[in-house]
Amino acid sequence: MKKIFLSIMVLLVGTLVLLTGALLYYQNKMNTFGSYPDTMEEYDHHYLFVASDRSEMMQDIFEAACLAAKEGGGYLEWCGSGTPDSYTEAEYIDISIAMDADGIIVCPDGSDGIEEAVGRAHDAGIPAVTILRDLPDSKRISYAGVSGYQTGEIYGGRLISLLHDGWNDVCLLEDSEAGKDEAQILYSQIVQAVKNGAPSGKTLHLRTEEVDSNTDFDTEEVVRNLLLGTHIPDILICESPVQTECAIQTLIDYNLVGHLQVIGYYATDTILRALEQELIPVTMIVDTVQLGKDCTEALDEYRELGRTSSYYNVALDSITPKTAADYIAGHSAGEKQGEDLS
Amino acid sequence: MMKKIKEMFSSVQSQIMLVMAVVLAIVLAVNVFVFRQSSDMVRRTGESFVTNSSIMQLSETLQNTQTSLHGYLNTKSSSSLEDFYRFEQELRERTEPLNERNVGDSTLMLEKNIREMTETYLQTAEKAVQAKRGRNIEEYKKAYGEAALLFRYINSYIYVLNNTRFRQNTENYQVLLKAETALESGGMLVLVTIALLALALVAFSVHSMIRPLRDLARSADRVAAGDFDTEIQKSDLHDEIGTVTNAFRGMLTSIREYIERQRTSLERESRLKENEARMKENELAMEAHLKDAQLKFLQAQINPHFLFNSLNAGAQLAMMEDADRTGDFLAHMADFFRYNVQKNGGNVTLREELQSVENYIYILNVRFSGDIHFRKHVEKEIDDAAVEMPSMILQPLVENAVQHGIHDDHENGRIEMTVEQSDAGETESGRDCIRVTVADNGAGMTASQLKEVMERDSGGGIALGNVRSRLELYYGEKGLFSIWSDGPGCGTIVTVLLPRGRKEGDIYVPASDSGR
Repeated sequence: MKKIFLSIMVLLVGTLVLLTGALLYYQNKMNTFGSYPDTMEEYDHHYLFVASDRSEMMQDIFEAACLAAKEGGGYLEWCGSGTPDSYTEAEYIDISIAMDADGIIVCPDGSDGIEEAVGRAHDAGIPAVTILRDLPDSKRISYAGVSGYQTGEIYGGRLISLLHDGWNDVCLLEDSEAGKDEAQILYSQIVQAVKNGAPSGKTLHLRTEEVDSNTDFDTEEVVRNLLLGTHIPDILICESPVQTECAIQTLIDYNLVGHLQVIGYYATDTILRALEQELIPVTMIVDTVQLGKDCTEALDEYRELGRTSSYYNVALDSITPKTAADYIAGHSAGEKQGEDLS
Repeated sequence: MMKKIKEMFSSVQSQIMLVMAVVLAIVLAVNVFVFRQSSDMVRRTGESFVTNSSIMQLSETLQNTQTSLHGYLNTKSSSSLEDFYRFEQELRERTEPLNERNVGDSTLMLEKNIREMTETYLQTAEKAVQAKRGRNIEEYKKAYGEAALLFRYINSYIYVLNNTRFRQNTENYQVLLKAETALESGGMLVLVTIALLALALVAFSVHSMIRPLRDLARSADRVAAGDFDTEIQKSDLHDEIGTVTNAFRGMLTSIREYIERQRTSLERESRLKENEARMKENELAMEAHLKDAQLKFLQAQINPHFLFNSLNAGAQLAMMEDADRTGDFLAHMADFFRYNVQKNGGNVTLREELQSVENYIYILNVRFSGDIHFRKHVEKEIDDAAVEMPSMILQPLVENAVQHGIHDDHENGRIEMTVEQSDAGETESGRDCIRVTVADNGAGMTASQLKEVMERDSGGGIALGNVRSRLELYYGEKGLFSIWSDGPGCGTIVTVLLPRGRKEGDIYVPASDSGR
């Protein structure tokens, strides 16, 4: 009898203890529910990332820049992310000025007024760094990206290995957002590189096709028209991931593999798959991690010292079907590391 | 302190009240907890979209500010200006709670962006107002243009923030709804569990409180039925039940002791009365047997004193006349009767008894011309003078052998008396004794005759039954007399056992206690 009584008492006390524990846990949960933790990580400065290009490559650059900014005690935000209205990059820069940002990383899209906007930011005491495409005439404090010379040389080098004997029709898809000067440098550098490196008997005929990446769906239409037209080039050189993916899809859809060689740009999943399946012989890749680090470093340095290097050169590399597997493995490890850091 | 508390809860009433209070407190606490959590949950659910409401108010205030700015710049009316400043103030107040730090949360950063942009917007708007006041047309138009753009940007961000908050609040609302359902179920479960446990606690507490009372009632029933041996454990309880139990236990113990005393007293009295009765009975029996023997003897003899005196005189006369045989006969006769008269009813020695038998046989042989063949054998080791015994034991045995055994054939009849040391275990008491055997080869006895001798206290003449009864009365134990015959014509054997010892008054003292 005593044992039963004791058992009931133990059960009762146990239930009360459990209930008290549940109460405290529940209250704690409820008190913190929907609110922000007191120990939320705080940052010293606030950078804004301005880019109308929302491609995978740009996302990679942004993520790399975020990590780099975080290491330097800064918070990087993609300006205008989620807003219902579509603004020009110049307007985004104005928004950044209104937000009293501590720095702007801008990937110019060639839209009007961007240089002036960078100037207004500079006047408001907000340093701006351009990436991938430079605004040399603006008041940007630095540029991080691949130089036209380097790009032309590397493209030329890869192009030589793809040329067949005789006359080769090569088409360069020119991004209308890129400045004319830059496009000209790229063009001349490719021609020069092939001229210098191509064996005799292999003749290059390089033509350009302008693609307006600012206009929705225009890239796909231009690429498709080009590849399905009467003058299909022997080799197609892409300058953006969107161009490359459009070209790959057209190759597949119209069974053009073997008739046309595509030099891709960047390594999205689609492009890497195409490489593995040897649909395309090569793709050029920009070191987005380095680019992200460089642009953030330029801002940090400027904030700290009041000056920084006006040019950060980022390496351009290529992936072939043979090196695709290694790249994927290395990229996966890098992504995991990036996730751990974030 | 503990003692006081213990005393305070020493009564059954206090204990029941304590248990009920504890149970009620537990159930009440659980109820309060569940009720509070439910209320809190309802409140939180209700507040889920408060942030959206605040954002909408901010947007509205921003709109009003912009409208009043436009109105003032358009009409320069005082009311518009007042409205502008009022809404400007309100806008600042509404942006005050927004986050202003650089933190790693996109929503909070949205708040910061809106706050910063609003501040820029207000500065720009103020610049436009000031320019309007200063009639600087170009300046206020430019400032208004910038303010309008900022107004647009801010609205975009407010829209994003509102959406984000709405999404978060909707998620929170869903979570709260689920939590509310879980809390309701959990609360019910806890309430039922606690209620069941509390009920069990009350049941067992009351049961444990009442159990001693129930035990006491059962014991009282048994006592009422006459079972005073019922055991009641001492109660350690300090309440009324403990007091009643201990009091009842004490009462039962007293009753038992009283009954025991009464029983002991009655037993003692009974034993005393029994002893007295037995002693009286013994005395009366002894006396009756003696009187019977004496009466029988006196009836058979006329004045023995006169007789043995006369016989003595006759013996002396015979001696004087030189009639020696007559003299011897008369002397034996005189000795025989003297022994009977003097020793009758008293203690004698074995030797005296044997001498009496010798005298008797001598007389009979004179009477029957020497036809009585009697032989006596006494073990040498036996000191017959030291063996005490009741008188008139052996002679009746020999007389019985003569009269009933060899009476019809004296010529061939033989009587043998043997006196020997007996084995220790022969008597019931296990005492050392002398065995006296009188055997004849005469008429013998039937089984019924033997049975009659052993069961009857007395018979005709100085009967064997009389001898047996006196032996038992004298020595205080049975089995000292036995008679055996193989049947008619087979002779009879009578055995008498004489335990060693002596008679002191009415009490026979065994040999070991008498200093032998």
